[in-house]
Amino acid sequence: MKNKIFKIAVILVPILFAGYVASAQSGTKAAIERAQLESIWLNNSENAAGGMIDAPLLMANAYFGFDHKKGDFKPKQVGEKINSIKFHTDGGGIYKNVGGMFIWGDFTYTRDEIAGAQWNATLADPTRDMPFFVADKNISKWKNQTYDMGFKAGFPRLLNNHLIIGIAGSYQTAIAAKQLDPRPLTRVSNLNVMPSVVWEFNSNNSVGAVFHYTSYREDGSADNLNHLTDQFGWEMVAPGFFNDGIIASFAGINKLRNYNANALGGSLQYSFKNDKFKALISGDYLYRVEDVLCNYLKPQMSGTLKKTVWGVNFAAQYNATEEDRLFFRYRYDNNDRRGIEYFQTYDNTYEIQSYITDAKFERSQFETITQRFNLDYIKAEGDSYTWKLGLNAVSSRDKFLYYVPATHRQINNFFFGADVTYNLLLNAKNGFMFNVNAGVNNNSKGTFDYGGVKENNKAFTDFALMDFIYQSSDYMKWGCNVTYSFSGLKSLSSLFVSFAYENFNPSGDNTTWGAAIKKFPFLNTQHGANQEKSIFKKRNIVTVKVGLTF
Amino acid sequence: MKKIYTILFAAAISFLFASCIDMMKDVKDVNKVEYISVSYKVCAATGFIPKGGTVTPDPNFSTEGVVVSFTNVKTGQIFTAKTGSNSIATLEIEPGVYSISVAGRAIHEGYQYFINGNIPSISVFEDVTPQQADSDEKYRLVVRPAKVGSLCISEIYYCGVSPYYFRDQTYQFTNNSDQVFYLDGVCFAQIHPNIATASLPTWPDEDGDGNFVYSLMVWQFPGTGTDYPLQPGESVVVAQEPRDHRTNNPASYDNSMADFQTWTGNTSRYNADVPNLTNIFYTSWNSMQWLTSVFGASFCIYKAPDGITINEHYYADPANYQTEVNKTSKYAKIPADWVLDGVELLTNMNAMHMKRVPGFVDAGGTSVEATYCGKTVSRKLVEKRSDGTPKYQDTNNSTDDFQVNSSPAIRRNGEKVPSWSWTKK
Repeated sequence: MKNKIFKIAVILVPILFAGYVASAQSGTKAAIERAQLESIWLNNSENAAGGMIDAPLLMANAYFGFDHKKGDFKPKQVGEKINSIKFHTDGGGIYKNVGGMFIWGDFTYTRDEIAGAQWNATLADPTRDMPFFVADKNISKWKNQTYDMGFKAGFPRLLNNHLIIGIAGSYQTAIAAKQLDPRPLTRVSNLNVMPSVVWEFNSNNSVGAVFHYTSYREDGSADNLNHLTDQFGWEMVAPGFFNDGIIASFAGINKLRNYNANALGGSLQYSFKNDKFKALISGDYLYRVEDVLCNYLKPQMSGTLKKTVWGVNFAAQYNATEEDRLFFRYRYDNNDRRGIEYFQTYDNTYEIQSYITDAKFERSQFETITQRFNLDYIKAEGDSYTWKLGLNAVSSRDKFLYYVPATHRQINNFFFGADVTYNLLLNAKNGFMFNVNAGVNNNSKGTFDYGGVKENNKAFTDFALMDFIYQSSDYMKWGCNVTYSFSGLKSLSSLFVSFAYENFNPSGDNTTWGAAIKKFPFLNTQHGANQEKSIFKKRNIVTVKVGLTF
Repeated sequence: MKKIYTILFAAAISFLFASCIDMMKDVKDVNKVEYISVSYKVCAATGFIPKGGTVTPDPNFSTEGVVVSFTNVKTGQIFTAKTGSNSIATLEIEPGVYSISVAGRAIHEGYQYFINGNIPSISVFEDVTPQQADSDEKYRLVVRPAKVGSLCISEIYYCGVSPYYFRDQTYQFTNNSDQVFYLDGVCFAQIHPNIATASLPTWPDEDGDGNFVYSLMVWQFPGTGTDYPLQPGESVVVAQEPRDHRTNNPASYDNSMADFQTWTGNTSRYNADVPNLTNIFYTSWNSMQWLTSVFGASFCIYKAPDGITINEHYYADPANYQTEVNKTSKYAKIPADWVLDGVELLTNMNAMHMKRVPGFVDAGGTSVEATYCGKTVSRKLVEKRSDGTPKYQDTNNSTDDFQVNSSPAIRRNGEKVPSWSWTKK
């Protein structure tokens, strides 16, 4: 099935691009990047009909990439070492030969070889904000494969050129295989459908609306290959709150987790544009309910996650001159998740033979408020640019409450970063793009007042607490990227090879064992001798890509 | 054809949205969890307790000062309170499923009694006022007082050792009192069911509630009355197969010095030096060995009162065995008053709601929490006598009384070997 998906995508996507290769302009990597920045609807909303207003040039790229991530400055569930290979292709634009329609498509295949992951025996992506899962403390390898594909289409204008109808969709299927007992084979399917409309009052003013539907399924069972050794596990319901026991054993913890999520939402947009200035303001809302079951046939609930996400986005582009262009973006996100836990008893009567819910309560709240700010300047040249200077900042407040017994965790971070990109054209065919970037994260608040009774349990000390310390660490980050482009290929815009390096380095007083022991004195028994020692070392990411732009 | 596709597509979309809307409705108005205040009344009942009938508390047994513990089955958090002069205990707890245990002592007619009991699993989601506890039987914790016994189960090694080695199961009993205790005729019983379960057996109404313990295997110590004295601090060791098991499995241990064996007829699993316990009752016979659950079985020791002789003939009498409702397997019926001590071994400590042993035998439970891990449970040491023998904690609640040890040991706390033991000859 997966191979079929891959083959179909590999055949279809180049066909999609083939029609416009001849009409594409220079189409270098820098040109694609600039086109994305200038596509204010596509870059800042889910509104596919907005693609008709952005009217991007036909462009596409396809690349093979290799990622190598290594280091312990990461959440516990994420692998200490990850090698990934990736094939990605995306592209599209306005197709004149189909009535001036906007069509865009993408496909990505990723294969991750993960080593050194812990505290997860269920989830394909343990960082996806899901508190209900089975965890184990074995340091494990995973082999994950993901297929992502999506499309956007904006149809020709209707009703005196005022109405544009669009639709966007995406489908992801993934398979994640843990390589050590308890080893789930987790399968994921994620479907998003987003029909949209735009009403263009005139050439300057437009409003848009998007309806969003998501259907998400994930399913994995933590089985043992070696039946001689019991595997101890944790049924997590929140950080520090769990039920522990032998996985899959009689009267132990249930190994199966079956996730079933549906989400409904939408967004509204207003945009203004004239010759020098364009702006888009949008507001979006999504309500998602995800049931987590431990039994296929009888509805034995592990929990339900109720998620409400709303956000406001403002994006603007100001062209001071034809060459000097400024891009501004601000986004506010409020992500509120409520964990619902169930009390069920098994009714063994012949007619029922199922779990009956005696009571259910909302027991936990996770709230993340994020504000993002981006300011970019580009010195344009042709359809590309020579210089790009960027500033970015992210302010986040992450709050977790477990109502009874009362537990409170709060993490406030502020990240500030800057980047510079220079696009050096050596001659008509050869060019280099150099990028350097750096940033610093400052944690202004990190508190974890645990009211539970399991503060000596490994799932608290080695998992919940270590993740808290990671998330509330100050750190510095720097990186660089060099891309070489060759434009001398027949009927193709360019061939490129890029190399990127990123380094994340924890810094500051709050990353030592001494600081952790000050907050959590019980850690002294294990780490008291390492007061000056940093808990985390660093994390490096190396990325190599070889690809084509069309 | 197109019409069919359209209808099918519309039906699929409708189904998708209907299930989506249902899911969202289900969690729309879920309340936030809050602490609740619950009150329960502890009553002591003596005599026969009828099934489902009204229990008449015995006013002579005071239950003031008895400790009531609510253990949250999911989180393991324990909430405790003492009963007041009205025998009511009031606690602030989070809503949930609890196992409730009652533990205390009372002096009655010159004898010391345990006032112990438990409810393996009860759902508590709403407030219960002291007035409700006083007037409504639903909120009563009825316990059966049990005489404090001399003989106690002091160590059980049941889980075996990896890989799948279980022939080294061993049981140890100690005289925890200050008087000599005669083992003659004492019975050692494995309680039904073998493995803990949330669905406990249903017994006929005629047996009432909590008046009997039911056993699937009963072994009896030999002797006619005073042949096997156990002095204070002496212990007796019973093994499935006494031998140095390290020759079979280096991770196991040597229990060849056991005083008795529970031999079931397998000549290749027999130690000719060690006397046998007599089997006087079984539900099903395994001629390979007497293997009890490595997940954790439950056991009790009992002795019939003077004038009643217990042997295989006794259990051939239909009055002395019982079958579950609508089932045919027979189980030995042990009157509650005869039980000297009992221990509930759970699969893990979160499985308290699967408890099999009535609360008056053991108000709690203990566990090594894994199979084939080579661990053992033993009673906690309180003090040592002047001769170096131990005095063990015995509150009739194995959750409190037992500890988990990383490996088994024979007479780990200096218990003495009885003078009649074959090992002394």
